[in-house]
Amino acid sequence: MTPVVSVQDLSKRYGAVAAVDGVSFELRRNGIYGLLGRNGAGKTTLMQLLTGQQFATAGTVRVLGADPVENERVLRQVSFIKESQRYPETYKVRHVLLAGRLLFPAWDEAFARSLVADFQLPPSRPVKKLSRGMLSALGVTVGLASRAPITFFDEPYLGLDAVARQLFYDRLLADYAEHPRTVVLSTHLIDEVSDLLEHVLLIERGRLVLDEAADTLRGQVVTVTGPAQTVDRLTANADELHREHLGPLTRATVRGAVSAGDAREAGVQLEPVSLQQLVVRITTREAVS
Amino acid sequence: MNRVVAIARLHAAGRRDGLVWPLVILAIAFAVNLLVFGAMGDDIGDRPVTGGLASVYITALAFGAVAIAQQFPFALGMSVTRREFAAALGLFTVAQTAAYAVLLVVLQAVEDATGGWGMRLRFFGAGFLDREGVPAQLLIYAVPLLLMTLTGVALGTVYVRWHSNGVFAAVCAVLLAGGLTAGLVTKYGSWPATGEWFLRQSALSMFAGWPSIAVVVLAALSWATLRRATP
Repeated sequence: MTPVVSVQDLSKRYGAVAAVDGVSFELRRNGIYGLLGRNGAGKTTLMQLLTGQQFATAGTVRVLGADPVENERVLRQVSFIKESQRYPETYKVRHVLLAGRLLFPAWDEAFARSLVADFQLPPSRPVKKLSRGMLSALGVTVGLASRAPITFFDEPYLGLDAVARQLFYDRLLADYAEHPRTVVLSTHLIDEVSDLLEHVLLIERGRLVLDEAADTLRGQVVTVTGPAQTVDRLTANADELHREHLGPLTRATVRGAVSAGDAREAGVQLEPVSLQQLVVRITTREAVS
Repeated sequence: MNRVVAIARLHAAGRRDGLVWPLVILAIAFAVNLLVFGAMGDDIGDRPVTGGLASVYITALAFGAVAIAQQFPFALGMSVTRREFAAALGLFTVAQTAAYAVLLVVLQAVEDATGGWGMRLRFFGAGFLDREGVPAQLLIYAVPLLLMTLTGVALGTVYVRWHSNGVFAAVCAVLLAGGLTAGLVTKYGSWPATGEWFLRQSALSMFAGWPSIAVVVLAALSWATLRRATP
């Protein structure tokens, strides 16, 4: 199937700093992607490049088959909700919703109203008077109700409490089931969204270090706990990400094939690693190398 | 609905308070003038002119700067292109300027017809306007208003592209250019000639003709700056 987003050797440099450094990947039509990485890894810059808000230093971006920069046809099918979104001083909540209704062709007003009610957003309150959490809820409402074929959420849930975050995840999943689209979630709360994600992109210091289906990843990275020699033997063909010692035992976090049968026979413990642990391990190793 | 018109509507939504306030200030200034001149009675000199209109022109400048500094990052965040944003701002600015110009021409006609509100007060008009037809009057009110708006817009685009330092640099550059020009005029002893040149201009070319060239130049510079700006 043709990808909705296709990126080739994309770079964005600010002076000597490469915020995005030679990144290539594709996004399929309909899927929930996790764009993960540390603060300052380049996630926001990457999404700004994909939505034509920043200009690339090198490389190509194709969104729905075309360059997104100044492309009305493409951009009206793209929604980018970012935590740092600025609003005009005089705007009230309802003005932002009006903007969504006027600008996104697939906007669903009834859905927007139900989200406003769910998040208890006061329509007549000036945006600058909203709490951090309400501001995030407003962004989430616009992002979901826009029903854009490609929707980016850049840390949209900062300030949202656990109940509101769960509401967001539930509404996103329910609406995604009825109206499939390509959703990119950038987040720090990896364990919270790991069940939602179908595909993971991990970016570290501007470079893409992981581009893998979530299901593949879940089986791929494990911890092996046992006597050092046995652990070494079992993980000889795997890529070691981390190792720690607990008294006489060694615990290695590895990526690659470790046979469950061999592990059982050797009497070592084999455990799957959470997506968050996996991201931490891979990121840490990338930072060292 | 056409997308550019939709974005212009969003400019209007952000501007709602801004459209009303200058009129309120104008009304207050007008009321104060009426009171003062009413109290002075026969002591008024020959058809005094007040500066009450300035509020409309100064808020136009502020509007231009705010429209860029605040609406531009929001609009781009809502998947609007820079081209659409600029076209919508142009549309809204022209409509707003036309509305103010019509209002001011009507008020100054009333002022003339009532003999300066019964007390020879000049608030909306200026002496030379009486000699012009309505189309010229509209232009004489509108073009300086456009020029003020575009000055604000130009500063706003410099701000979104190069931030505060850019604005300071731009203001310094303008002051430097102005000082240099004044210096050259002084050096070549051209002040009398310059003064004569200004006196030779008709009201229409003074307030509409030459400023419209500045409007076009500022619009072009603003677009050149904005098309590479990021939110």
